[in-house]
Amino acid sequence: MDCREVQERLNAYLDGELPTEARALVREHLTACQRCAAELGELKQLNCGIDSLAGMAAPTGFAQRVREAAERSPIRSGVWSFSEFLAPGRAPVRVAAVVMAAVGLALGMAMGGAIGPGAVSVEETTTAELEGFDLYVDPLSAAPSGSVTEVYLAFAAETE
Amino acid sequence: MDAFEELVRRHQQRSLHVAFRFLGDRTRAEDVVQDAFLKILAAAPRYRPTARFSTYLFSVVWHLCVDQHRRKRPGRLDPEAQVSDPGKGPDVRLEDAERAEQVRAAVDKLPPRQRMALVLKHFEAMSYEEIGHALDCSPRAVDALLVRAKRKLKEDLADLL
Repeated sequence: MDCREVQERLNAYLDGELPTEARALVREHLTACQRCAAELGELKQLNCGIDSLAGMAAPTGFAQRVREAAERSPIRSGVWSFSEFLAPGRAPVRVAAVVMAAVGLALGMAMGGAIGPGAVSVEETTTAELEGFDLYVDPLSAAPSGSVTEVYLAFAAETE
Repeated sequence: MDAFEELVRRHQQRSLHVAFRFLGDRTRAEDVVQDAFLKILAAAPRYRPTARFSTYLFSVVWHLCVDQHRRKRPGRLDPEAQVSDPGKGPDVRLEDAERAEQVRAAVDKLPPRQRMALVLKHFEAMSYEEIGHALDCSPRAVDALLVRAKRKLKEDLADLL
């Protein structure tokens, strides 16, 4: 190894991060090269200076303060608490949730058969085609194939 | 929450050390470490241990330190945290404090990644591989960060060495 290669590795050498073979080569070079040995000495001195920087002691009660902050936080473990949802201060959130649910339901019912391949809207179904079917007279179950309403009904059936 | 508080208690000292040595400000270090633990708590259901918990914690602390660094300039050395050996005379202690201030100022000028690599190596005795996990880089990249950091510090502290 030449001086440039050794000096590039001096930091890793001091940190004990060189592979065994490289470490041996650096050590061998250092025994013969005063310039690199001096460079190593400066690096050790610098490391001592860095090591002398003060840290900070944990203030008394720090862990308890962090715990109290966690208990005040609404998201304690990545899961919303239902009791927090019902808290008085959460009224706007509850209103927004109800409005979104109502809008979603209305859109789903209005869109009817507009979703899914081959879906046919109710208007496109002729009277002649309907007469050929033994329809179950339940308005809620007369959902066109592939429609959002059909999906909702299937979901409801599974959850009952 | 008892378990959480115990977790904080076990890791608070090291994480405060790292944050303080990076930011140089006691109050900001406390804020960063508190935020780190709260984020870890919020992410707990998704946590999958692929490294030591302390490495994960330092990674979160690192990202929060970078946010702090972008918002504000690094703080000055906290005089309450100065090295003070009661066995030394006042003149020697003053000289130690001045040297520490110069070293601190030079470390503060380092780019964030170099500074954090230095802090994790020197004050947490982490291996290059562990530092790489915390900083999301390879051990070779950690070596390069430290080499550049030491080179810069040598230039800035030439009078001291």
